[in-house]
Amino acid sequence: MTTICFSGRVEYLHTAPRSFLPMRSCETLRLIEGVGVEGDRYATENGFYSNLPHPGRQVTLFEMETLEAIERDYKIAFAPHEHRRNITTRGVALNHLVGVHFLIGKVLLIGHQLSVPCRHIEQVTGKEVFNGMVHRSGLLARILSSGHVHVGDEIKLV
Amino acid sequence: MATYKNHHLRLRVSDARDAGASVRRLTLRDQDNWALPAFSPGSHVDVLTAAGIRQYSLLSDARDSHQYEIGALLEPVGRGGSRWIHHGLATGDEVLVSLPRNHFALDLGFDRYVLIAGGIGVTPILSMLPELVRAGKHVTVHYCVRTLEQAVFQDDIRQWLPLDRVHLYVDAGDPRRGIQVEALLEGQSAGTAVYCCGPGGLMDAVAAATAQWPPQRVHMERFKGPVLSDSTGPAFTVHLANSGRTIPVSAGLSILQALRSHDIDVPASCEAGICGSCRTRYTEGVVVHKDLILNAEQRKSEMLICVSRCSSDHLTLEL
Repeated sequence: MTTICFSGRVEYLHTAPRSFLPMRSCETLRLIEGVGVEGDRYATENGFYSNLPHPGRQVTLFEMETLEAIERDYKIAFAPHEHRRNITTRGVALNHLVGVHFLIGKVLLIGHQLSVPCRHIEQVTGKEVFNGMVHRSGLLARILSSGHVHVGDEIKLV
Repeated sequence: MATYKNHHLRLRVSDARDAGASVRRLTLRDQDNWALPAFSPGSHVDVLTAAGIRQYSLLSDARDSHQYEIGALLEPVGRGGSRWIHHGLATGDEVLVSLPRNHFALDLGFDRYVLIAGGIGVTPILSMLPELVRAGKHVTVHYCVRTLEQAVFQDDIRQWLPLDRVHLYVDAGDPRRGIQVEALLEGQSAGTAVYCCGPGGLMDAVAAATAQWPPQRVHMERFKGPVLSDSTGPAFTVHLANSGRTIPVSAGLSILQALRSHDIDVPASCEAGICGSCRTRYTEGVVVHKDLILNAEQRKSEMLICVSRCSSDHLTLEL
């Protein structure tokens, strides 16, 4: 059995109330158990994909390392507000967290499914990032306890 | 067509006023005044009117990140889009619009700019003025209307330019009183770029006068109908085996888009051939597979209808 071991933290938090609107950076987000991110489009059925209900899309995560890799490999500057996920992490291999319980600060989550890239991101950003996001498009997670997460919070296994 | 609200920007009419001469000016904002997607001067948006999709140029300063302004000329014998904007919309109403797109982009690499506008064609020119002035460029505007009352955007132009840089032509329909394009553009220096938007005759005159210019110095936007998506390929028809319906798929639409336009709701997500949400079995037709996930065996009977097409005249899907 492979042991997952990492030391990670939250680098950025973002939310937007409706589809297409620019993501706004914030220091804190409130995660609501079984629902989503307070005020975020996917907690209020105002997201681009809200017509496709998905139990695992309560909160979305993306690796800072992927942004750096896309810039390195594709020469595309892709900023934390542009990937349109809520939580930008550093030091966490998100692809390993499907089915795994983990904590962000004091909030308990479980990785539900890997996110897949979509053309919607290219449409919104005007950047050709689809190929660069294949197999590293982040994680969809379910929220198992309500609470606030903050920039700088530690991310760890339970 | 089944329109899903979240597949568009949902904006509120924060101000709607008659600018005069059958032009209505709308200011659109997010309901919570959230910032809007950025746009560049010369951009337009699709507006979903009750009569279908219509394009309108954004006339506001692109630096203002919280509002889009459009100006719509009432076309009494048109297809109904402008009538809806004039008579069917009020302050506070919600409007669905697309992300801004730009087919008339401003190139700041020149020293001098001659901006030529006819009638309502002045709207994309308006969004260019703030950017050019801030960049310290030498700008002149030549704005032609039929009657003085139709010059409803004069103040917007003069807000940015001194009087001697704004030339208003009231031609009463007589080309001899309009912009003398050939004389205007003759002898312009190599550092001069021309941007023109207006009726066909004006555009043709500019095209003729600049025929020998390098293309990067000449930019024109013609009034035109709905812009099709980028997907291409010959048209064909799709027969839906389970429902018995037959749907035409035009050259510019994907199968998924064609089905949606006939109110047939098929699950889809990435719309780029990778997530598999729209994976569908087919029984007849020569399929051109464009997905990134199906193997050769799967492709014998299945396809992703968001990207894949058909090279035969007919395709039968198990839908």
